[in-house]
Amino acid sequence: MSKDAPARRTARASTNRVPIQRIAIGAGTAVVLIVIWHLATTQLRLLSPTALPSPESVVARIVSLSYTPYLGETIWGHAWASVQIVVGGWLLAGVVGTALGVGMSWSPLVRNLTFPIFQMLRSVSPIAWIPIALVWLGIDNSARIFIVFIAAVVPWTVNSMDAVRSVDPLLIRAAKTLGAGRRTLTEVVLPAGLPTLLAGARIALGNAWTALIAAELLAAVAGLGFVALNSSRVLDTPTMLAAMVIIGALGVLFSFVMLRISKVLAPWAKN
Amino acid sequence: MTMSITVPTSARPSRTTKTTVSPPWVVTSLALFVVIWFVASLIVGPALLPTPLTVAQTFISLCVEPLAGLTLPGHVASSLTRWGTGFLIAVLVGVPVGIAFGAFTYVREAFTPVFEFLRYIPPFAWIPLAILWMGAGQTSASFIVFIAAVPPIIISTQVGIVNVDHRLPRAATNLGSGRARTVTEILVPVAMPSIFTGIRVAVSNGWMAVVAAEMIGGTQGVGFLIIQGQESGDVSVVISGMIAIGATGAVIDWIVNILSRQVMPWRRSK
Repeated sequence: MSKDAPARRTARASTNRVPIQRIAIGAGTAVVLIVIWHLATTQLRLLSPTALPSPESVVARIVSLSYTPYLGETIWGHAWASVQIVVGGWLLAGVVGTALGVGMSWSPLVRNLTFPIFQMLRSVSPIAWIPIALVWLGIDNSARIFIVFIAAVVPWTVNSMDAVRSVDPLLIRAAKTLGAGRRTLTEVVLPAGLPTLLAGARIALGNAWTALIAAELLAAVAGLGFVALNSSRVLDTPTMLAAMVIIGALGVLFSFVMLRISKVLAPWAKN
Repeated sequence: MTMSITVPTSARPSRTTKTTVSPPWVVTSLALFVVIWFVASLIVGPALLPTPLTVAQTFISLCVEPLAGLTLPGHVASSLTRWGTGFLIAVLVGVPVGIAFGAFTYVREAFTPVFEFLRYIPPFAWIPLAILWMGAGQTSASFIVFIAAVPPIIISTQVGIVNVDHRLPRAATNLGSGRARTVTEILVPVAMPSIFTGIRVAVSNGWMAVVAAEMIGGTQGVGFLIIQGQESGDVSVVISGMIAIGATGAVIDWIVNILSRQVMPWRRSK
């Protein structure tokens, strides 16, 4: 009784208003804040346009940078450059991390030999690998793929470990007893572990995006972080904010896409 | 799409953290790592990867001889002051905001979409703006720490408050407790474990952020040190700095863990 009380309370809190009203309240606040931003910058002139340009100038900049190249490419070209690197490094980390995670939970020898090293290396934040990546790989794409890989491989590994270990051993034994044979892996272990693995994939993509932006701020020849840093050096704040807005929007998009994928691949997962 | 608040994912305690490796294996594993490192450094050459021994020597000499203005412990201490300032402000802002989000449905519904969007902008993307607003220095690094640390605190405080059994505050009110007292003596203590989960995430996010801010626009600190090492092509300085970053991160996480047990003696934190 006392155990399900918090769940009821949460459910009540989120359903006591219809979704459309909730969306309206949220959107209304966003509009009000943007209007305040507009008034503060254009009417009241509380801030200089260099410190904070008006929202419409940021939007205008996004539009104009959609067809005028900035530092070699349009803003969407830069966005595409960032997306390619983040997805590449994330997939690479997925292959390595899943293999490592499954290996560590499957074999005690692999776990004993690699887990302490893994724990030690993960305490160093991915950002701190940037200088050494620059020494090793230069300012090429490979350096940034490496940083994305370092950031993404930890959640991939941890969650694939958890995914394998979270399967109730009783289920496996029951399947075996009932003669499932090889189908134990595909029909018991995989469905039971998939939600955890997909959750790891989503965290990995978020971490990867964060790390890539830091890497692009330090050394890049294209990408949104590169745009943000270069525009800030010449005090071109509208372009800088345009890059920030697109960085945030792509972050939202990644998270949304991963949620959709999880729902399609593992509809049985509890959210 | 629906914008729902999510618990900071790394904050979720994983069910199966019973991954213990016995001490002899830990030693074996780490020894294996040093051997691989040594062999790799012989293959690629000391310019790209100095031997563990060279790094150890550099680490020790950095502890006594200043480089880029300070010794290695000096740089760590300098980073820690910026980290501490930003983190403290994040707690002071994040906990009340989280309580407001958790306790008042209207506040939550109004601000969640904006908050969620801002949260998706990585803290590092704020660095150029921070440098523009506050210059490359102490304040902008602390600001970045704040940006990185405040979302997990807000979210987990909110989740903690929302998940408080609604009968508890009602009982308290019936027994004559006022609004403020209900918050401080019922809601906050009950939500405390959740708040501390957010604080732990904030600690490591903030530490990562201070290193990044120092790398991009710093004048001192351990992030500045490793960038200096990279620019002068001295990989052993870079690796020494990385070791210091990892070790400091581990130590502050450990301190927060102990602190959380002190604050919540009724709950044995993992």
